[in-house]
Amino acid sequence: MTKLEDYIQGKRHGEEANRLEREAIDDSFLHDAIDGFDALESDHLLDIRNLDNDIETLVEKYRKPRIKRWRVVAVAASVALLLGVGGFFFYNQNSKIDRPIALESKASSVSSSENKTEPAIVERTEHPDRLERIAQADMPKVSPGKPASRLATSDIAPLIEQKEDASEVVLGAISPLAQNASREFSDSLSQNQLTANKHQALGGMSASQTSFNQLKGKVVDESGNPVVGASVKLGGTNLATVTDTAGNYQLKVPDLKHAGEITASYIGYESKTVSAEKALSIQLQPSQLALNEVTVVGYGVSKQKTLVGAVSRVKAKEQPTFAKKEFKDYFETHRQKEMCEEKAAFVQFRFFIDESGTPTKLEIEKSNCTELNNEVIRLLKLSPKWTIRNQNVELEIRLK
Amino acid sequence: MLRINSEEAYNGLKNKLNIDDVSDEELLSSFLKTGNIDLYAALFRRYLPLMYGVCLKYLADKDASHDAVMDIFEDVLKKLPQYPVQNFKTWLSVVTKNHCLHILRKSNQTIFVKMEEAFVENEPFSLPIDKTQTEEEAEALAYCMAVLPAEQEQSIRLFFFANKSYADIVGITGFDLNKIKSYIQNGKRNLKNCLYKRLSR
Repeated sequence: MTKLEDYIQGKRHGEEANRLEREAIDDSFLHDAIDGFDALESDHLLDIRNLDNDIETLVEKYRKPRIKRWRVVAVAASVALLLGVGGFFFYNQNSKIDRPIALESKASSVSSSENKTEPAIVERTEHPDRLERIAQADMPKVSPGKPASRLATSDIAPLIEQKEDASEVVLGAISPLAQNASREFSDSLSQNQLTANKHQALGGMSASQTSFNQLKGKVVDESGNPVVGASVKLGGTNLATVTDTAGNYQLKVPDLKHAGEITASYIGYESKTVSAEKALSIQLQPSQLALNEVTVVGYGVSKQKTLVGAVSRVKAKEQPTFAKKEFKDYFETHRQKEMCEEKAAFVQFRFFIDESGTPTKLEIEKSNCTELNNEVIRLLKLSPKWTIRNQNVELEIRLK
Repeated sequence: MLRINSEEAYNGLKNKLNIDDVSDEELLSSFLKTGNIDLYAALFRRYLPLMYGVCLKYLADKDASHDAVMDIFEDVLKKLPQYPVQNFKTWLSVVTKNHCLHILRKSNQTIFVKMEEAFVENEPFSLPIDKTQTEEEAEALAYCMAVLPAEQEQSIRLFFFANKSYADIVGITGFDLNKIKSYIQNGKRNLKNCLYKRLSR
């Protein structure tokens, strides 16, 4: 097997290689394997070693059950023993001990849950309460005077949501106060700084919020190189920027914490939308759509003498067709060389090309060589996508 | 009790010989007798690179091939006690190929193969090159080599007589690698037909 390993690694010269190749001529197992290794670029030896390790794990699994069965029996026995003994004591002392324990545990669980929830609730209820006083905003359903300690745990979640509602309402109320703000953007920015300050003043919960509100990140292509001049836009707003020469962007956002989604786009790449928290590095993938045609359009009317530019139409190269003839060529160049001892080996088959250009529903009509059939199945699978769609195809291949 | 037996058999084999020196058939029959998984694993692992390579050829995907070989390990383990396997290597080669073709058919939705008149004749044939030749054989060989098309003759000569590898022949002749392979294949077939005719006269 070391011979084969050498060969896989590319030692293709000399008598050793010749010996293996000659062996492969009469040994289809070896022959197919070499074909396989040659067809794909990879560190095959490493892959084989990994496979070998996984096989070892599998073998281990088959060795185990015997031991396991003993373990299961042992565990089951000890559990049964414990249950028996425990049950005996339990049954004896049941009537005396049962009640006090139950009461005690209830009490402790109640007190512990109170301990945990109380501080949080106090903080949070205080928050909308004071905001309300500032803004005099109307806050339905929140009853600030309600003592926190009386709230059950299940009440906390809605309360927090209401808090969020409340602070948004408050923001709306504050905006008239930000009198110097003339533009929408600076409006929202100052609002945000106001709220940020307030959050801090209130011993707030927004430690992650910076006063800069700069969202920074990088746009890279599929291989990790920076994309220069990609546009980056904050979803639902007009706020946008482009990346610099290192692919970096900085985007001022009204509310860093609830920035929402960021969309990065660049010509020839699929646009990508990610949530702002994940916007640190946005990786774009090349667009699958072909750029068939780029038309440069001029607007407005130009008189002949003032028209200095040129209008030209550039058509992209046609996608090469792949149909019957191309498949036959593909088959001839990719097929296994040594196969079918028959003089006039042939196969007649038909299949259907689905809407994605993939052959399906192969039927082999006539054939005099199984190897040839297998090659047809293999290469139909591996060949490029057909350029015809939703069609039945009948084909005959004769070996030359 | 069975376990002790199988361990004995396994250790016996190990002590008797290095496990690498035991033939496939001996390993197989010991495994079938004892059910010791290590014997089966040792046998199976001999063909790991070959099986993996064949799967790569059919599936053209590393992970799929990896999984396929793992599946074959369990499949073959189940099948072995049911089938009288004469030549393990040949049998395993067929099992591997069929497994991969099965995967291909499944993934191609409902590919099914309807075969009429499918027959295989595949008689092994070795050229009378390495063997000691009779005068008649040598004469026939010289004649048949001479009537081969030039490229076939050159490729055959380099490959079978001068022990040059495909890559060597590319370097010597400048032919395309795939062409060389088909020259050798076709040349060998022509040579065989020619020799058969000449020697049976």
